[in-house]
Amino acid sequence: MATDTPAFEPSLTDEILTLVGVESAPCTHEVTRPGIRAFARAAGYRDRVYYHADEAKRRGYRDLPAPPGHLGFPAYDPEQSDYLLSWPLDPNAPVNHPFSPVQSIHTELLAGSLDLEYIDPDICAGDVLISRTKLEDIRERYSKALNGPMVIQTTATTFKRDDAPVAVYRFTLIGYTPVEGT
Amino acid sequence: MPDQIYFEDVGEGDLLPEITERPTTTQLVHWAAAVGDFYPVHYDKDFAVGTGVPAVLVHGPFKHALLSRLVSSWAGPQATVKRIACSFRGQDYPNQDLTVKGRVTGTRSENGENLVELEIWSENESGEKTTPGSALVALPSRP
Repeated sequence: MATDTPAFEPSLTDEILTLVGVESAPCTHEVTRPGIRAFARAAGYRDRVYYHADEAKRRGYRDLPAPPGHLGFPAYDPEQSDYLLSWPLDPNAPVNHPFSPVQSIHTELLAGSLDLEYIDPDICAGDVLISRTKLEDIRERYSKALNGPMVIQTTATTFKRDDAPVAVYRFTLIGYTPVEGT
Repeated sequence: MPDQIYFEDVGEGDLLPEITERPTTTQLVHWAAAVGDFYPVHYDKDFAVGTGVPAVLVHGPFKHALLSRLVSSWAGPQATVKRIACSFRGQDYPNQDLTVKGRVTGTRSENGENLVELEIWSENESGEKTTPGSALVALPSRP
């Protein structure tokens, strides 16, 4: 069948394709007052509830509430964490976090989509969340815009507190390798 | 305390008060530190250009956070944000206006909750939708 898609050398091996459904080791995320303030500040929130514990408690929260999108910060370990992306990175594990395994295939990454669903949005400073990331899908196709192949992967990271799910963070990531002249 | 909007006061087609930000590279560095994403395409221009883009890029999840702020600010302190989803269809760059907008697409009561569905998106200075998405919030009933 005729096609205008140039041929390319696939980068997805059978070994990688079998990772669909594989889940990462657990990752600890600490929800802290400084972390909530930093997130709220970066996102431009002015509401005092994200900055002052007294105001948060006056409004019925246990402590500073996490703004939508903030699920704590991965507990950083210089010997185990990804230096650029802060999540735990076990080179022997096939799936580590929302950026793997495509991070190991292509040099450049672009965010494709983000779908955050809350099951229990009552997340406050002092909470400790445990996440596991599962590779839901990975595929490869030619991109005219990138003038080369790109890998598109979707991961679902489930966050739990005290073993009860609080949120699912579904992230699509695009990996590619720049082609000279594009 | 921010104003509260009630389920009975919401109807399909209602527009959310839009928010315009003009993110600077300083703000992107704040964001990088807040979420631990130090991928250099977001603050190192030479690196960014080397990947084939014209300038450093605004983080996708930062735009998701702006859309979340749009929704939560509109919905008020007694509301519950249940879902925020978006696709990163176009690149956005620092020092350019980035406006987030939203519109009510449906309302329903389900399992004791007053749910409101929203279409949300960001626009660049040219009015192009770079980050279309949707949201679901639960609103309180008017006392």
